[in-house]
Amino acid sequence: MSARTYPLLLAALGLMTLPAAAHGYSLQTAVSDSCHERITVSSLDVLLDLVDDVSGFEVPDDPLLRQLLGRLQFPGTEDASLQVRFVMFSIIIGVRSPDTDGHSTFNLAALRRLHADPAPRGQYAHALRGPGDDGIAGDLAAVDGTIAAILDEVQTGASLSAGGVIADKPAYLDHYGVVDVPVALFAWHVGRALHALQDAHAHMIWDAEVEHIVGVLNYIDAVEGRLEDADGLAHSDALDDCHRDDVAPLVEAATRRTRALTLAIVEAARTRDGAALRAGLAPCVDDATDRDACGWIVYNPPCRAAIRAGDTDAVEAVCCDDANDFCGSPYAAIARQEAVGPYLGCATAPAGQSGGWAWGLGLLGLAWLGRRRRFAAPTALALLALARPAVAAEADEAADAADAPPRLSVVVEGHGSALDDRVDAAILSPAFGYGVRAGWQTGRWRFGLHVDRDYWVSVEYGARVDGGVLDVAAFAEGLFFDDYVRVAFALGTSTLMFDTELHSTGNTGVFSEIRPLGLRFPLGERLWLVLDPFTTTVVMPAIELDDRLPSLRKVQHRTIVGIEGGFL
Amino acid sequence: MASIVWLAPAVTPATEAGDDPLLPPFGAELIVDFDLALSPYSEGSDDQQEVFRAFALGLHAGRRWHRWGVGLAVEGTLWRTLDGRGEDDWFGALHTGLEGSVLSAGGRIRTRVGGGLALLLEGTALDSAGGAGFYVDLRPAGLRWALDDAVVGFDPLTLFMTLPDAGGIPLVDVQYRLCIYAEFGR
Repeated sequence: MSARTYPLLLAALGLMTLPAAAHGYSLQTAVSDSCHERITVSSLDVLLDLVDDVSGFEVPDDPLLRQLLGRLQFPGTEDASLQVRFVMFSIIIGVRSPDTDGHSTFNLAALRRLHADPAPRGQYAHALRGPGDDGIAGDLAAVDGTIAAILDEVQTGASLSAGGVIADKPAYLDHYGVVDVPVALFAWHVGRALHALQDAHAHMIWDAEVEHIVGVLNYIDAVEGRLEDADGLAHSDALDDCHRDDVAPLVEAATRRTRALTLAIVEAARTRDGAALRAGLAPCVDDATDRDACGWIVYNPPCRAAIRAGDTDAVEAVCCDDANDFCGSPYAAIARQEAVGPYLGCATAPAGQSGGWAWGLGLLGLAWLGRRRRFAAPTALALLALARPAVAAEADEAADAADAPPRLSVVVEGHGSALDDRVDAAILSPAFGYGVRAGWQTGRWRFGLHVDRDYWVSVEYGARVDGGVLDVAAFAEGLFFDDYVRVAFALGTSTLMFDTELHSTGNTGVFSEIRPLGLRFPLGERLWLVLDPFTTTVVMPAIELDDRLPSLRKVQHRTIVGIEGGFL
Repeated sequence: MASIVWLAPAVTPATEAGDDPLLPPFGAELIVDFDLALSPYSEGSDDQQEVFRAFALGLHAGRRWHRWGVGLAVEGTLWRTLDGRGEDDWFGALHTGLEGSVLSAGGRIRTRVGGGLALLLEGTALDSAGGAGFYVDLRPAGLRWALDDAVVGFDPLTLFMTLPDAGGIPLVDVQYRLCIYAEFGR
């Protein structure tokens, strides 16, 4: 995935909400195209033809799974049986698993855990060097580690195939968050093995014929900002982009080998013989006729032999690295493009020096304050003036309005919300919309009707604006401090206006909103600008009492701006 | 509990408008305030109900010129996330920075923005101890009440974003907060 390709989000929300990205061939998200899913789906006819031969693929009687299988469509499975779609679903969940562990790709905390994992195995799951894999020997260690990771997944999956073992695994659904869904463990592990093999074609530098590997990229040291020559080249977003023409031979090889690995896995599950698998992970013999049945992930054979023999002269003569341009690999130049680094350009500070620059800046700031007895108000304070109620200039008009407030008020307003602060949730949950409120005032209190239309932005599996909800509620609000401050509550219904993976248009649940402190700025005798900096708004258009089905519920902190008119 | 606090403005009797000059003692020039911030609006995406996800204790000191003020802030913050096994992970950070504020409605409403350095004190194996980054604290509108020798304040809903480890994949936390404070001045 392109780890630094989020200009749209950067522009919208600033650096602090920069979403981290999974590395490896990209997953389908709002800001990246599907590579893993595309390669996997193009290979799955092999598996699906043979599904019936593997015992135990009974689809669990789980309401959530049945709902998902009934609504999700995978290419090529439109007319397939429920059983086949269940296997496909399990594989896709498995393929995404190493990059997201079932979380949103915008869940920064989860991505840090997965991708900054210093354990070598965490990196081998993505066909990358571990933190201790240095020099040319580090290339070999990473290749062997990746092969071991693939074998481990395959063997675990094969051991589970006969019994049709089902287990809950996390998956992320737009608007719902993380849900635990039953998967066929065999297929789920197959997905994880396919992921590693596919990443071997995005994170390893191959020779021109895509027959053997001449170098392995490094993510963990690069993203931490501590990459040295011995660590190899940094993970490359260019080599990672399966849509580039110049990496097409790599993508084609990844697709062929994904099919071959899938076939070998199923064969192993059926016959309890892993010969095809072993052949695939071994170098091709010279007279091999089916080149896809072997050599899926092979490190430069002469170099491997030289390293194993401890022959340093031979290593220098036959091995490839940055110094000899990876023995002329056409992919070396691509691998040097779009190198990954710290997301914000900040290297992790070495032990003993951590935070020194920060303290330095802090001391400089204090010194600056100390040297200046008087200083101009910061720009931020100038901006604050915009938030000040215009009470002084409009005091007379406001007082008049307070003396004889209009009894009927109508507010037309727009709202937006972007961030989600829930534990273990995606940091982004954008929504926007508009609404109308009409209220009748008695004393300092108003009571009336609130109607709003709230649109939801999906970001997980592609950027789109969904229909969101229609909210209708009764509200009560109080005006204080000469009507400059407003506190409001609303309670009503929220109706879903589009079909989700689990619920249909028209589903109706609960809407509630608290506007703890809104400000009213007089624009004229009977006209106000109203601002609610933040609200707490809960929209819950689908309420499920079955524990296996998630309710559809969003907690939004809306910022609302409106124009209020007074009548009567 | 949060709802009860939110209701507080509703039981406040209306007073004279008098926005300028500030109502006493809102016009103190040198001020110190102590505040407590909580995140009562969050919950786990796994539906685990946790009352408060984050806590913070802060000390703020500054100078006010009529309705405008500037100051320094020091705040210790604890917040919770989940690790890969679904267990709680607690983070701790020290935040220190500059802030500006403005009073309105006779001193009964305060708007404040701040930002500065965030220093990670407690994290996980993925974080470098002492890692540093920055934070932003937005408090768009809060209510204030005058007591005999102090002012107590209530910011019902604020936005706090901290990035205490800017290295690698940055550690970012967003907190929608409720803040209460006591302000002393002369």
